[in-house]
Amino acid sequence: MSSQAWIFVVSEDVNLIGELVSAARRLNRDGDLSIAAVVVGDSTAIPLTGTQGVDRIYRIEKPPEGCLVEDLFDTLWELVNQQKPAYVLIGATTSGRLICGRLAARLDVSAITDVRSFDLLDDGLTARHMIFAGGAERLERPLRLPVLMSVARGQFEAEAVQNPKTPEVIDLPFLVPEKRSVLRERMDLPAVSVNLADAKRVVCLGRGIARQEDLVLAENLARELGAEIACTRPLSEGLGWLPRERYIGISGAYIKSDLYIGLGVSGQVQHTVGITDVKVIVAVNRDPDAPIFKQADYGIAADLYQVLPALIEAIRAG
Amino acid sequence: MNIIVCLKIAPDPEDLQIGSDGSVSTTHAGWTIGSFDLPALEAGVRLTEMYGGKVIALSVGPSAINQSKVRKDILSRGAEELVLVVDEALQDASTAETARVLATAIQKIENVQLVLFGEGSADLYFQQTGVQVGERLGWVSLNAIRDIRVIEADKLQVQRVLEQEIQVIEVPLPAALSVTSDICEPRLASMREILRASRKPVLEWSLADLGIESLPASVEILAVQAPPRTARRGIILDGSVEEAATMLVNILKKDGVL
Ligand SMILES: Cc1cc2nc3c(=O)[nH]c(=O)nc-3n(C[C@H](O)[C@H](O)[C@H](O)COP(=O)(O)OP(=O)(O)OC[C@H]3O[C@@H](n4cnc5c(N)ncnc54)[C@H](O)[C@@H]3O)c2cc1C
Repeated sequence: MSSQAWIFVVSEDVNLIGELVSAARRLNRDGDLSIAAVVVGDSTAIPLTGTQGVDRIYRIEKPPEGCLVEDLFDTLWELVNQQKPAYVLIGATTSGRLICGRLAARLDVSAITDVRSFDLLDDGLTARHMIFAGGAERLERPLRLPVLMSVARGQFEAEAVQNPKTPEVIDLPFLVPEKRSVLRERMDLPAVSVNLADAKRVVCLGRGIARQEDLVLAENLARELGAEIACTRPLSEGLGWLPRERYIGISGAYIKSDLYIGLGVSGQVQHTVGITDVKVIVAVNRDPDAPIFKQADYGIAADLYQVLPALIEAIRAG
Repeated sequence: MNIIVCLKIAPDPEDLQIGSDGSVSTTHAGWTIGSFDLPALEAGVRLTEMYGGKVIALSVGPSAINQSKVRKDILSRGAEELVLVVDEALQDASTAETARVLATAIQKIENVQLVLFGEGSADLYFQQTGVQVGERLGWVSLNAIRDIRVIEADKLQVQRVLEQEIQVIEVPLPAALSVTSDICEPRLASMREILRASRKPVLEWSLADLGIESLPASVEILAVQAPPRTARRGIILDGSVEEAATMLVNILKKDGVL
């Protein structure tokens, strides 16, 4: 097999491999490349990956005590040097971003991050990704090989392949790096409580909510509507009033619900990029010039503390 | 311990102008320090306040980054020195080019054991530059750091947040860390610091000063376009709050979303 014939898909999170393979299959439009999945640790990874039609699985040993999963980098680097893949696709988790950046630096290429789509043209690949926090998309052509891209969850749909061939499995040792940090402790974050992407209705709170106690008011409305509670980033990352999985926007969740009601949300693009696929957008803001009104179907320009009870009342009455 | 904090100075995404054809213009945008880089600067300053040493701020970019307002802004927030690497070739530079220039500049600055970065730049938010710089320097490189303590002269203890876990990690120095935007709240500059800022040293380097003769692009930018937007009705419901609420509920029922 010639040396440039591989597409590598790499993720420490085996649940992302299917989506990455799906993207890889699109890159392999002409069918002249082979796809290898690079996974780490767990043997359960093998059957999962196998059904997706990869040609080869590299299974890196699980990280020894005290090592970070990203320390698999040394093993990956050796593999990349040996096989010289034409494309490397990395799952855009926090760990994936670290691995991706380190690989980009070693290869002296720029990774195209969070790729949303790509085209294979006669003169090479072009890929699209977001800039200006979602305000714009940039179309780029990588000028160096290998092409390195990171792919976030939810961009490409995993598909099971009919009658997949059995992939060749190659076990690789975990090469412990000479210079490394030491993992002393790990604590699980509370389990993710909601998947906003699946919610039919969403009540979204912004900084117009003045006190944490007032969340109850919004919860009452959400209950009447059968809606999930969501928020803007400052309520989650800054104030910590709601968990991370409940904030909408470029660095949070993208939703496609039937209804979004924003309460005290100003409508900055970093947030509204996450609601472009919503069917009906309602905004409540006491500032009639708030940008959210231009992006809403219906608006009420008033104090949310007056609108909330009135809305609950109106729903009950109706 | 001297700490370099890398800051991206870029057009403010809030000032973006989007044409009806989806074209995107930054011509009227003010250039500012990325809002995610300010927590990194604050974290660096707090470390030097606790453990000694000083913060040197470092930024690379086209000549538009060299504005007295921005320089003052950086130096009034606790950085003791500012190094700017200015070259028009850095306009629209991709992460590989930016990381190469930053790493080269860092090597030129003496006695540095820690380099901090924000979570991502405010304009591109690729979240790559910090880790790439660390790797280019051959230092330990980590992202998503939300707490930093010095536990030995050449060792830090950090907290790192992943999607599903928090890690406590010992990091040998030198190291390059990208911090989360909630690592700490950036300070507002005091009047005294603002006055002091104008007396702090600003070094301006060119690529030639760093021994970089050419900076070939690793990606070609073909187009920048605003993503297509769903057309919205933009109807403001008038009347008393009660009337507006009742009207809204009726409309939402008619739209079939309630
Ligand atoms: C690179 C980058 C990425 C980002 N990613 C995200 C992201 O993923 N998600 C996100 O949400 N943000 C994100 N942000 C932050 C974003 O830019 C905004 O700062 C944020 O969305 C604003 O949140 P907000 O609307 O709640 O607050 P504000 O902008 O402060 O708006 C509060 C609004 O409430 C109104 N209000 C106040 N009191 C009342 C009242 N009593 N009744 C009615 N209205 C009231 C005010 O008029 C105001 O319009 C990001 C920023 C950057 C730079």
